[in-house]
Amino acid sequence: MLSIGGYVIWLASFTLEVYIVVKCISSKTFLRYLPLNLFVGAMILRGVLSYLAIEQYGFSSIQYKYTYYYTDTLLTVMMYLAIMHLYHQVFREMNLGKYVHGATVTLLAATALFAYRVVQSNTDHLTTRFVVEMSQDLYFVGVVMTYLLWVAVFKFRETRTRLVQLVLALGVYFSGSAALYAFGNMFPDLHMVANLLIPIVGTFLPAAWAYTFTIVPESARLAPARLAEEAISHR
Amino acid sequence: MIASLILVVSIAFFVQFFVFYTRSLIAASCKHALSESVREITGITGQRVQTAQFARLLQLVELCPGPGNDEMGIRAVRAYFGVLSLAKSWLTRIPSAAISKATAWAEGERASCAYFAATALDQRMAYSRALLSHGTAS
Repeated sequence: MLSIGGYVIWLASFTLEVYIVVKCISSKTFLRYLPLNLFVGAMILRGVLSYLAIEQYGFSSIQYKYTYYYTDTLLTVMMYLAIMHLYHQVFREMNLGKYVHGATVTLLAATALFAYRVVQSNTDHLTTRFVVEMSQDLYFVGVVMTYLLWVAVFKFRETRTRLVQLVLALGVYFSGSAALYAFGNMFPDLHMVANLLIPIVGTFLPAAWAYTFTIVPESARLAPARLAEEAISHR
Repeated sequence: MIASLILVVSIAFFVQFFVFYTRSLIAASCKHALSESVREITGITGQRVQTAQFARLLQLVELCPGPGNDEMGIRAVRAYFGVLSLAKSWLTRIPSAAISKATAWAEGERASCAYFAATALDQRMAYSRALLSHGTAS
């Protein structure tokens, strides 16, 4: 069974994820942000599967751990698609769409190949430690991709506030998750710290995206260069 | 070895992304002109809000009912303000010209956080007023 705090975090994440999808459908932007919505849909599915595994086998069970980590790996691949969609948005006006598509296919193929090779060479010890290490690596690739995306946003003076905030929230989520997985990998005895903080970081992304889709209008503009200024000027 | 490298690099990226994310929230609020009513209640004059007012402004924000969609931003800025306050208290102990510049930067950031809180209060007050006038009309 989960603790009360665990249930609150799970419920908060689940509610926010459902809210994002409903909000995008109601504001008729579901298709515009389709890969992001598919990723959020996968998060909802992961939440449901994790909940069922906890109810069926318990929080400390190996079944729950495998459900959590392997759905998390699938989720990371979905997240790569979401990042590539954001790349596509940034490079859209430069007619670089076909290169982004090519990069997406290459990246997915490389990820699949990497995962296949890793699993093939570790079939005799697919332990929790191994899945933590794999999650750490996949999240780190996400961090690097998001950082490059942020550099592109900055260099090409992308001004859509929504896009800027979606990318930055993604960066916070990926880097926080990669750091926590690396910490859990380095200090397996302190896994409680990572176990407690990973769901909190996981709640950040749906909360930040829900905020962006609710508060920030599609027409809002913000120069990213302002964010790097020494001080943010008022009006 | 790889895990420790990933940990260090990820923390560095995390700090950078978090600062930029929070600044993007604050930058959006800086375009907002504070209304006379919020200035009257809080005693704010001019364009700058005193950092000492941040906690009080957040208390007022919590007292004022809102549509409930600004919680995430307020929490992120509250966390950013806390980190800046901690950094400032450490920095002030080190006497150096470069450090004093960093301290001044942290203070400017804290002032922007306070302005964000004032904006949130202003928006919540506007929401409450609209709710009240709607209730009175119906």
